[in-house]
Amino acid sequence: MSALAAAILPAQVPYQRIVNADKEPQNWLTYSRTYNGQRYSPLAQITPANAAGLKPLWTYQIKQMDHFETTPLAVDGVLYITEPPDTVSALDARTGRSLWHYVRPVPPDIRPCCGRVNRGVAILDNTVYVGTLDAHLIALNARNGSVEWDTVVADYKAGHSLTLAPLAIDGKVIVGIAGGEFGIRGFIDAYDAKSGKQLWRFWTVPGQGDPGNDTWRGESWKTGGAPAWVTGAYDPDLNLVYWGTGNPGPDWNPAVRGGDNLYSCSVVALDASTGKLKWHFQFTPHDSHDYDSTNVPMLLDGMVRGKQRKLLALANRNAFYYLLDRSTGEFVSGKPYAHYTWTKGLDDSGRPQVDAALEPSENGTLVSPSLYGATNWYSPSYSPATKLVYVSVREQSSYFYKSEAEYKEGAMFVGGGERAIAGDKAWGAVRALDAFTGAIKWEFKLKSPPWSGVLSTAGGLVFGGSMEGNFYALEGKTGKPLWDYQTGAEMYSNIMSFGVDGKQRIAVTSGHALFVFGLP
Amino acid sequence: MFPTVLLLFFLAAQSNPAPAPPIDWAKAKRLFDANCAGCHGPEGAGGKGPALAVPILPHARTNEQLAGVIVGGIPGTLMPASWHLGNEGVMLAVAYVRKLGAGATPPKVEGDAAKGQALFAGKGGCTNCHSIGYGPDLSSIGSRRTAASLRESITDPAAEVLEDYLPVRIVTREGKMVQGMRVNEDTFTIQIMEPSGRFSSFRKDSLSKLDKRVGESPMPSYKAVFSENELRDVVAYLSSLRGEQ
Repeated sequence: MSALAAAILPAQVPYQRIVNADKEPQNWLTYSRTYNGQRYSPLAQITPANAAGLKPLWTYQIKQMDHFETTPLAVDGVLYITEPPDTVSALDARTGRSLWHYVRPVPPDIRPCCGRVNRGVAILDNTVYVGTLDAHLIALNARNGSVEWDTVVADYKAGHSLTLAPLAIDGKVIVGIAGGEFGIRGFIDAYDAKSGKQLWRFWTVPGQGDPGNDTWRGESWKTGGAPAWVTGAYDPDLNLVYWGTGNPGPDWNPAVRGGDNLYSCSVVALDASTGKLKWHFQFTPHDSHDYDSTNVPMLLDGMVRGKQRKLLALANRNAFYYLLDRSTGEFVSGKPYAHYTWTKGLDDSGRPQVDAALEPSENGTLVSPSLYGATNWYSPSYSPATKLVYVSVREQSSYFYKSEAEYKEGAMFVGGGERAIAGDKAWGAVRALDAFTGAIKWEFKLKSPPWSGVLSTAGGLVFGGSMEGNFYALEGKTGKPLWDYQTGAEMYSNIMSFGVDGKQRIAVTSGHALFVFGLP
Repeated sequence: MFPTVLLLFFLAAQSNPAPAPPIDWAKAKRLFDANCAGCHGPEGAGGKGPALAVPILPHARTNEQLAGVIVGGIPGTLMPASWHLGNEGVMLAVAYVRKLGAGATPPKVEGDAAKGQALFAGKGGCTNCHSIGYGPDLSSIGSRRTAASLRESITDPAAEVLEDYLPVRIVTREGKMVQGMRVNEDTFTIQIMEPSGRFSSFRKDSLSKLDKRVGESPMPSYKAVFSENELRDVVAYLSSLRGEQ
């Protein structure tokens, strides 16, 4: 009987559906909707002409006070979300009523550096995948939330955690570890989607004898950090997985880890079948300001200086927008999109010309951007219609401090910190960059530095959120504000769009609620 | 990454009953001079920030509370969050502040507080703004500011204006002008309290002008209003306002 049932119920989301996600614009099947990381919705019902009529249609409230940072997946009328700390819920996309919950108790001694957050699930076939704060990867039956397998990825007591949405590709689930403030040694792992068995691990800090290990002084590689805490992108044709890596440890006292500290603050291109490094590009060698490069890479094709190229675009926390050749890792261009002082600029190879006087100091060194960066984990968006990359930008400076750092397993290993210039002297913006030159085409100013990503749509809109609760729509071509709604809380959010009953919806978290908007 | 949650770890570390290591006082002084003395004075006698060389700190009666104030700051005041000091730095700062406070006597304030109270409500007309919420709440100002700094605020109000108190002048597209203090603001709207205490709210796209008077204070200088003795009395009154203790 069960065999019969299995035969009748086809796999819900086979890999090919995700590869061909553009054929079903009403769904959102992976973290950035498509493997190319563009976070662009082909839905076009909501336009500059009618955006003023957007209304909240339903709200789903969570029961925890932690930041609610999930990107819902939308699959045939069901939304799959994570709720802090480690809950997965399936919601009716029409009403927001819940269909099932998976609630995992959180050990009382977990040590996430920066809040009990989770940014979403992955789906493949009939299974939903979630990473947890105690560094497990768990597979759940998409129909009822029951556990199919539970794999320990790393020891949470040493400071490891999983906060990102996993990336599910053909038969594999890929995750990157968090914990860069605890002197972990970072890695990116692939697990067999059916069994949960580890298929490969790529250490983001090379071990003894491996190429790159000599970019760390002495034994400092053992506590070198370079976590990989934001979901990457995938090119099925090249079979390469692209992933951003975070800061070297200790964050603000770089003396103990002399050298470039590979592969921290980099993007790595890994063979999806083996986990072997195809190429890497390090944006911020020997970082001393916590400028993680854990920003979603966007894969796009286009002309640069008269040549058609397969590109990887990345708006980096360090205030530069980079284009790399995604087949080879060759540096194509790097252009600032926000105020910066930490480097004099980039040389012809893309390497920053760092001013050593701007390293953190005992009495504080004023540097832009702040520790939180010119942007952060929240997603940028690329619209193939406007050929613009939209970035949610933080304009803020900080005093960076250096202090001693001693490694103790499971304890903070940071060696300093910052005191940010806040209030009206810090502000934010959504900026539109020419995707292929990095030139700033327009900006929409925000009252304060945001913690919300952006979504662009085929309807010609860009959606964003503010720290004062404003959820808003801009005209994609010009940045002109068209509509806004006060959600009533700080927005730590990534925005997505889906369709239900043939109608376009926009979903965004704010405070401790998920809001869904549409035209009535 | 983003360490607001560090606070919890620092506080947990503070209440850990492990034996305290010996204090490196030279290091503690260096740390205090670099991070604290700018506002609290090198000897903790106060300045922009309150005196720390006092027996009781109302926001920080216990060492755990003091560590919490150092790590997290005090919202709505000039006291910033200083989690960058790290566990050891916070412990040194706590030890140093307690050393400054040990054996200290409350600072003597000249002047007659009762007379000052009468001047505050009468001749000065201070309650016109400070009792309706237009001017800052002064009910515990004596625990946050030294006499010298209070005196400066009375004679030269613009010398130090907290960022939360921003005078604004707006003109609507219809030509109506409104002046007041910013109460709240987001990307699309601003809320203002007018001197009468009335709230008003505007969409920014309905304004032809939004003038933020950064660094200005709507409070007049009382230099020419109060005599030297009256000034002392008013400062004595304000110094006596210590809120719930």
